[in-house]
Amino acid sequence: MDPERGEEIVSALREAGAGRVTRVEATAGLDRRLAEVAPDIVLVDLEHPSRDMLDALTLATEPTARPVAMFVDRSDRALMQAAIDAGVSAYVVDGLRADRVKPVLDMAIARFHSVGRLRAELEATRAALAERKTIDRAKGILMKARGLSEDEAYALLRKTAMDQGRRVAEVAESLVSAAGLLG
Amino acid sequence: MSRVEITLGYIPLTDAALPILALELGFAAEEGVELTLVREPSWSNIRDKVAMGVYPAAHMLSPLAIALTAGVGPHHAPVVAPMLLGTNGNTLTATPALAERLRAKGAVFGDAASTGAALAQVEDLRVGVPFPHSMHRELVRFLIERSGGDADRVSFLTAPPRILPEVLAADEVDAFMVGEPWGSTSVDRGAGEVLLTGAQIWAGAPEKVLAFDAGWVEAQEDGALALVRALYRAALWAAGRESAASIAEILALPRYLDTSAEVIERALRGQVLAQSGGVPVEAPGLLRLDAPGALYPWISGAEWIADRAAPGWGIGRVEAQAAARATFRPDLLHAALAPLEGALPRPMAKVEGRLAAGDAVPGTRGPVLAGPDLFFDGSVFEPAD
Repeated sequence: MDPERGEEIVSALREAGAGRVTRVEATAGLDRRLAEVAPDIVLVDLEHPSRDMLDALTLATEPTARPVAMFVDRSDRALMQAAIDAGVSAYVVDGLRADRVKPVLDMAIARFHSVGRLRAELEATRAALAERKTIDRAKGILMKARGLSEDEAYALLRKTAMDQGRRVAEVAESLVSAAGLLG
Repeated sequence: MSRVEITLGYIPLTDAALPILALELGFAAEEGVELTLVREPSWSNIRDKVAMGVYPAAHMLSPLAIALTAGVGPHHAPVVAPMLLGTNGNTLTATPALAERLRAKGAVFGDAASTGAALAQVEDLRVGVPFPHSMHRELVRFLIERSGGDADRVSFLTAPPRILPEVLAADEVDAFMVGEPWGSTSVDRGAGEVLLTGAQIWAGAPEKVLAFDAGWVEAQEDGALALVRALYRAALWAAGRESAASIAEILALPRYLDTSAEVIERALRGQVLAQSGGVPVEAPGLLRLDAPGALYPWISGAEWIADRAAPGWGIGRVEAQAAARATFRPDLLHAALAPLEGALPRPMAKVEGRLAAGDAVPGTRGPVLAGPDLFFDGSVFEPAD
């Protein structure tokens, strides 16, 4: 599982009093780690490529292996879809009661969504900051090359963007890279 | 022309070429398909998202498509496959230690008969594959069994293609079967030696399919056929040998395979790096994308998979065969290509294992190339009808 997201889920599960929670960041040796931990429920990050290793264990037929089934109660398609949308899936040991599985999965889904939102916000903020920097540089280039004031330089950028149906940041980006070529 | 929006899930592998080319070269748009490609990290995700109706279409392992239709695994979700996305594509790579033992037993790598005979004598063989429902697993089992070994004593470990070279280096498996370039990657690192290509075990193995949610196709048949047409046109474009470099450059883009164009191109040209420090050797038919030969979804190919996999799936052969026939749908490929001038094979099934390279079968507009489809042991597989 993604380390940051994984830690979030682990602490949330602990707060919720879910009992023993272990995070496994496995590539090789996943089956042995699982045998050591002997979990009742396994939550898996759908973004993790090792998911197929875990999934393959659901086919394990050796009598010693713990029977694991993907949590897909066919009657509860909505829960399954919600889990997939959120980027999480769960595997449970056969025989575990559904009323014990659902709250854990619900909690994980909610937490996955909130972590995802935080990350999206962070990325948007970073992108906005980067754009601001580029626009400032473009303004500087225009001020120097055409003897404009800062406001005039911005007005020119905005007018060019509107004429070309592009965003101010895009126009600024082209200007900065063109200026880079000219030295 | 009516337009249709289709989201297709794929795994970053060389045989995801046709959907990527159909989008990048504009064939999808020309056929009225607004195609969105979503890269997925695992086959389990592809399976779940097709089964839950998140994706109407996907790049899928042929055995997985049949397993879904048959209700093997966590879902019962019928899928249909109007075309293959590629024939063959895998290599069997062993640790240097195993390679040495096999050589001592008379194995000549690149020759499936002697290599299989040596492998069949290895006790407790551990083989890595990228997914349980895969040609990778079926071809290894077939090789061992037809070489006089006991395929049930081979233990299979599943790991993602990118991880398999690490698993081999960590001695968790003795060998692995995976799509290129992951075999060559192990060789590059000095951790493995390529024993065979999948094509040397069966020259006509239906590796991946274009899988559709069967219910979606019922509601949107025109849209599904338009996508099939777009992918088929991409294959016709790709057929020129000189296009391999362009294909490799497109597939290598960060948003697709995000890897070296050079290694992709080597696989497309049918070359494998077999030994560390060596030069790439010719491996004919390593990965085939030619149309119609490598893309026609022979029902007999699906039946072969069902026949082999049924015991491991815990269902009867008859039931598995029925799912195979419901999944592979050459009739839909015929329907999709009706507006094009291309020729397709007339029969929907054939006796597998009889065609050599360059052999043709009767087609809609005269004979069409359909070979090779030979098995390493010279056996044949008869279709059910």
